Amino acid sequence: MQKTRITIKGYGVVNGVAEGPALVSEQNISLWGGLDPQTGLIIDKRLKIYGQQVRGRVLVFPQGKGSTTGAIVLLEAVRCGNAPAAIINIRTEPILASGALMAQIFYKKEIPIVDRLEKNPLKAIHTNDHVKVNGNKGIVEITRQRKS
Amino acid sequence: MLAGECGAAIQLAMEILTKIGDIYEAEEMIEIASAHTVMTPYRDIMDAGVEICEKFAKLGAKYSVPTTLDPAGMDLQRWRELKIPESYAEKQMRIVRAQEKLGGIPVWTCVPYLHGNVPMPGQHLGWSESSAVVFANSVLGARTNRLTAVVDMAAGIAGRVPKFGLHLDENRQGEILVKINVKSKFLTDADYPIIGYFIGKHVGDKIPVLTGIPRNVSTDQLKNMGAAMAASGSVALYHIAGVTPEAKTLTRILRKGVWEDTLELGTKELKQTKEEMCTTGVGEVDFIAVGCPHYSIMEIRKLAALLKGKKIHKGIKFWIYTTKYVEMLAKRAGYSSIIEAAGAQILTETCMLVSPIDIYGFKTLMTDSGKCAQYAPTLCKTEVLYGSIEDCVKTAIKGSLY
Repeated sequence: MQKTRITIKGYGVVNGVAEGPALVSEQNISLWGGLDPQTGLIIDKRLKIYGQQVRGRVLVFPQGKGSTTGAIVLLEAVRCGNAPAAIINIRTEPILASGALMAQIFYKKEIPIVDRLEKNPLKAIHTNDHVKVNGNKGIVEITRQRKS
Repeated sequence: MLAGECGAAIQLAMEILTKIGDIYEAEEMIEIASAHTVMTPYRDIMDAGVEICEKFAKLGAKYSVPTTLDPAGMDLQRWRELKIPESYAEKQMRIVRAQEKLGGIPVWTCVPYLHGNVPMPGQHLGWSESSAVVFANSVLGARTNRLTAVVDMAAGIAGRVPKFGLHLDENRQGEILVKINVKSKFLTDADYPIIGYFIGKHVGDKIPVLTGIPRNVSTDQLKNMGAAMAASGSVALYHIAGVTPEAKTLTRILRKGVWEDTLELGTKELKQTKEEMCTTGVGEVDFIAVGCPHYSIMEIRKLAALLKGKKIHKGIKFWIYTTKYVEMLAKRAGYSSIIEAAGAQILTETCMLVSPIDIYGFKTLMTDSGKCAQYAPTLCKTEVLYGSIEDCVKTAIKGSLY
């Protein structure tokens, strides 16, 4: 086994540094009706990552969508200890960014978000790659186990 | 304010708003005429929501601008007869008490613009509730981003929001042209949610400009069209050429060089979309739910005329969601007694999407709402059928799909 490591620059949307195994969705995600905060499982059957666990993982998807209630779902996930470690988007919309910001303010939990990477994160990152997200610097570091 | 000289609650609200403003490169804060908050139904905001409402209340927070409240997670008077669990009701009442303490205006509705929170064109707002945001921006010409839960409370407390997105002139122009190719005299009430659903699905979060909607379109038709658009997509603003306040002419409102994209919608698309809005085509219906967004007095009037002298099949629950104010008018006008005599029930201050409908174990829900059709399969855990209010009533009488 060999390890490869690449670093990609982007924009830090929400501050903090966190790492974990990646969970990649090519589809947009609505937290409301998409994530069950009490279990950390993806519950929207229309998503390919249906049934996956987000707790402690780096969630990678194009953009958030859906209801304005969205941010509270992330806060409830934090409260229940089921929040993702970090988030990477193509472009982060305000509802998701607000959720992560308020996780810091109300629950002292950092969920860094980085977007607008120099490479398409949906292609550069594979599910279960180890990813470190630095929201302060807007940098993502990907480590992949590779069979030699 | 951020430094805390106005108190801890305003400092906390400003911290939230300033940080969001920083992300979206807002140069300043702007004062708002009103706020509207979705921090109201326990089913949606859960224990985190209860904690945050109570935290603001404990800090002594007060809404500094008029702030209206979205529906609660249960009928606040009839919850016992509706068999809402005590443990759920207790959490819901904690939210109610905290919001009362902050001075929230207890309209408990998703249509604040029909209940005294009526902005003027060009006024800045801090609203959440996707269906209300799209109405305020599009029909009233006011300006608000789609705020999310908690941020909406912060806006009401601080009386301001960061100036970005739809607060700026340059971000309010149309991005995609949608031609409605159906003769306007053939457009019925039931077509508007379908048009909204079709547009939302195709344009996502872009700003559509519609042609082919007649000038005499009603407030209720636009309310129901916009709600569907904001549910199947994330539309926060649309224009109707020659109808809505910022779309006096088509050329003025379409952004140059962006609008090569044109979407066409004719009778064929209407029919296809209506089918997409249903998860089932046949079978028994056991729940008819209307009033998403909350029914206006005009819609209740129409429904009463349809139900007059009729009897709803005993296997069907027919619930109409609206506000305390509209309920009172319906009683005075005699609509309530007609509706109740037919076996339907008016419920208030909540709706099918934010109360725990899954406790009743309904199999198939029929509705005249495009927004409800979008969310019912996940939120109510039922199959869903979309139909006109006329078809809902016929189905209710027959006991299975008309």
